[in-house]
Amino acid sequence: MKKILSLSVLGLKQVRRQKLFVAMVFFFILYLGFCLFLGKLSVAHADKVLRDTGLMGIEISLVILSIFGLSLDFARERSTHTLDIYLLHLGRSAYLATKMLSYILASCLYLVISGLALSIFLLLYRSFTPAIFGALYSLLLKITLVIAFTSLFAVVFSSPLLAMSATLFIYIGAELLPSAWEIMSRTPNVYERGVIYTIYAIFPNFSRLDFRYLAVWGNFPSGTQIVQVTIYTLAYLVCVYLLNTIVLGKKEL
Amino acid sequence: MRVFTQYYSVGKKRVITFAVFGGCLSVVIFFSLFIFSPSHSYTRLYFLPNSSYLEAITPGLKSLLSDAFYIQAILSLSDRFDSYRKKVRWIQRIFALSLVLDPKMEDNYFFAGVVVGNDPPSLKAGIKFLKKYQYLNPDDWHIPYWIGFDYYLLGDFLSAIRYYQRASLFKSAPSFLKSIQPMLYYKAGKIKLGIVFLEGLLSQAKNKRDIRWIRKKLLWLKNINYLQERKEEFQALFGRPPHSIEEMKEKGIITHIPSDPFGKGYYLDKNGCIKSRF
Repeated sequence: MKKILSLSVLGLKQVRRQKLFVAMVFFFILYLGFCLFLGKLSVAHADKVLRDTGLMGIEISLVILSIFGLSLDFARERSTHTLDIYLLHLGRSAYLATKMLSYILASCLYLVISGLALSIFLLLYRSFTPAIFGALYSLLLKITLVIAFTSLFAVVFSSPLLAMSATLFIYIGAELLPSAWEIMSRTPNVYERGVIYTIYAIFPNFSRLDFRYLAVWGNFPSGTQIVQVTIYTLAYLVCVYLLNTIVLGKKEL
Repeated sequence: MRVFTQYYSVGKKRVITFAVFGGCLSVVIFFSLFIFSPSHSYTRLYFLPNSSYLEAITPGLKSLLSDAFYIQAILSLSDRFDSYRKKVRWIQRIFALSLVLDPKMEDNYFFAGVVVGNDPPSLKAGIKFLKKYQYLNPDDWHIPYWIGFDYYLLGDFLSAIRYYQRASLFKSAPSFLKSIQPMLYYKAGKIKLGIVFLEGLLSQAKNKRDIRWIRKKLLWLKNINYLQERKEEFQALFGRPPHSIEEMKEKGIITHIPSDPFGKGYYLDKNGCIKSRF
């Protein structure tokens, strides 16, 4: 465990040094300018628009950082045979845990930086509400699942491009799933409904993890909601992690 | 013994892994289906950019943005709102943005003008939307047709006829826009107007098929008109309306009951109007 933690911290340092991490920080700073523009466009609700678009910017940049960073990182380690060294000394499940943990820590770091920048921005435009921290927490949970899926696809596919695309599709699919469910629940076809119902049960429920809609109106999530989404995310994370260890155990690298 | 212990420990590890996996998966499915149930409603941000700003975007991006708004509007059809009025207003705003960005996306009219209408206020809102944005596609027959359709659903048959007539004047308009109008005149109780309309059509028709259906519907309406006039004669003579068309024949007001070329026979309804059975 100590080995995993110290290697995760090392991994975090590596992620922090990546150009992509710095690029995302700059992207977010520029994005805040775009938020300002959107805030000006909206005649009313400017404060809500600023919060909503700001949090959306954090999510987009974090998704890019996790998906691209982790997939490329894994591909690089595979091509330079660093992966072999890790697997030899750590074991497959510990290696996966290290990789995921280092990206989760990097996401935490990014959330702290971007959350701080957004808070200052919102304070300047008198739109700040502490409720955005609730949204940032839910964002961390969401990104944790994105990281889990990215590591799974990075292992499954040899090409990082495929891994990135697959994770992006999962992300977009999970975001749009409640709407698809709503539409398909009205179809008279039992089989189609059954398929969507099954997908709804298994796919990550991102829309329910998201507290952004509460934060934009200045509302905090309830304690029960926080506990529920945390349990859900942890259970999901364990599922994907175990699946990943099984795949990695079977795969020739 | 050692091999057995090793085998046993690997097997045990595998069982534990699958048990943990199964347990976690059950938690995920339980949360998805029962805690985060699909019917759980949530508040959404009512913000859309002003269309005049979006018009300044380059043409390539405009089309893409239009698609994005279109998809968003389609997805919003399944959203839950406090009231249906709010929902219609919100959906129409998104469809309007998509339309302003790409006026050729005519399905925007259909969804915002027709699909959203399920009660009189939403149908009226649909008509308002179609009339407001008709200017973007002045050569499209669908828009007056859909306005007419909304009026039809509202029971305002004369307005429906007016818009069907407008739609039928377009070069690309299908022929049913003309053939459906006699039925609307019938529903509106304006039989004489229907006869005038069909006689006008007959004088211009060149196609044999067209002449055939026009004559058939003309005879149908003329029979209704004939029976209606005889019914009024009956009332003038006997001081009361007849109980049935057969009674008019018994009293010698009509010599025979004309056959119905379009429906399944004529009858006198509760309000004393001559109707066709369908």
